[in-house]
Amino acid sequence: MEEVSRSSILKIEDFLLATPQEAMHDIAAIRFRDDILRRLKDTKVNGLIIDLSGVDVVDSFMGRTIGEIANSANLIGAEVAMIGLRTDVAITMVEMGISLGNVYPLLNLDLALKFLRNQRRGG
Amino acid sequence: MWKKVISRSANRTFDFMTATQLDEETQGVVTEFVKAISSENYVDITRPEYENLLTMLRGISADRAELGFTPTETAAFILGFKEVINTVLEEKVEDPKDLASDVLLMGNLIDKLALYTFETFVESREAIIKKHAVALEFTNPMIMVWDNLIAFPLQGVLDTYRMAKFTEEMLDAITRHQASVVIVDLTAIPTMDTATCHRLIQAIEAARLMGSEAVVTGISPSVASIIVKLEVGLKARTLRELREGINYAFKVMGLKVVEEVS
Amino acid sequence: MKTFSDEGSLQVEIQEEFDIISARARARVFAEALGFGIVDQTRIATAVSEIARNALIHGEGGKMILRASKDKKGLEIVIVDEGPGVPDIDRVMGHEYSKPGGLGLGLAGAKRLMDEFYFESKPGVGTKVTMRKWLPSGFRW
Repeated sequence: MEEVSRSSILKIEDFLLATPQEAMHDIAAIRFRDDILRRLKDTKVNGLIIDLSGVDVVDSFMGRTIGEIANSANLIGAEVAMIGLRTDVAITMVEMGISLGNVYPLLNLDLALKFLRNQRRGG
Repeated sequence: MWKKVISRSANRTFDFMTATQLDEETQGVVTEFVKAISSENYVDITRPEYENLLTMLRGISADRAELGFTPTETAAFILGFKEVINTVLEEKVEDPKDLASDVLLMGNLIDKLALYTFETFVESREAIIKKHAVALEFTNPMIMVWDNLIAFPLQGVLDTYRMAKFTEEMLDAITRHQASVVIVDLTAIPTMDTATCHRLIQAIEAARLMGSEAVVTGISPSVASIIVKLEVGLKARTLRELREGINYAFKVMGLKVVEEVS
Repeated sequence: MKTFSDEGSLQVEIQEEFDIISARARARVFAEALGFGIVDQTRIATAVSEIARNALIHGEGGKMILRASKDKKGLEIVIVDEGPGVPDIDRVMGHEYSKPGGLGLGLAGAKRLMDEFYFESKPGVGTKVTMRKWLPSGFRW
């Protein structure tokens, strides 16, 4: 079955904005992860923002995948900010004990950009 | 006459009602009562001839429940009527035997009405109490301290159920107001059980995942010892007073309070 | 003793990746229909995601059955597979299986999200996970 993925990876200022959309099955999640990492390498950006506002379930697999993205990004030299986590998903994740690894959670895109600009400056 | 009886029974009726209102009530009941007994049914109040009277009594009960009358005071209202009826019967009925049986008959009838009034009163009161309990439970007042800065001075008894509700409220508020800092003030919370503390710690972690820093103020020694016993640990800035929390939040947010030079 | 009704029950096959998404979407809708709030719906969908994945990856495929309690106040999810099964149930939740990608993490997490959680597994026969969640009981004084 051919799915049209509405997930996107955009360049914004000097950074990448990755927005997973709706429910991704595991294979799509892995593909998304690989896409992000490839773009990070190709565009030589210093920061990545993962926007989770379109995600209604973060289970241990998704948590692990995000953690992998963050680790790889860090190795390339990019910091990772995370925005848009929904209330119900945040509560569920904490109750389950799911960690997202080395991501910096921020309130919104504006703050995420400010944060990454600061990081880039070596702040 | 009925009014005199009611005021004699030394209850608070006149604290809540004007004489006029009481007049209306008693008049209304008397009218419906007379209508009902004109059917010559003095026994069965479930029959249609008593419907209007019962509806009226129901209304009176509900009003009294709302006003905060005690059950006894409300029952006294109807039982006062008995005295009135007895007095009327004494004046009107000649034969002592007839008087006795009439008094008994009327007495039983009014007792049934009194019971009905009492029952509907209790129902109304329970409904009101439930409504207040629900409202209280679900309300955790929030202070909008400044743009993007909110505070929750928690009160009352916190259990896991209330803490779960609070978590949702707090996180929704963080989104709604884009609060970079949220202050949770526990000054009015003397103690919490382990499970509730655990939930609080989870709530703070959830806030962090959404991009908001939590500051906890006013932790009592009792609550502190519970938190310490939990392995997880409270990953938040803790301060003694709400005021200090606000001070800290301003610093974090790069805000400063400056005195006007007059 | 609360009983669950087969009437209105829903069965979802879990045979490939995309079925995990289906399963959790169906579970979410079922929960919503019963009156569960958003947070509970997400708890349920997440638990289903974990267990369904286990059934697919470790259990070689299976199915999920959703049922409502007779008084409509609770939800039951059964996910069963005919895979190799797990020899030692206690170890599943413990250290041995808690490696990333292993059974343990997801199971322990899902258990925390639900009100009742039963794990039955027999080597060579299969695995069955039963989870139940009840609607919060109205007022508390």
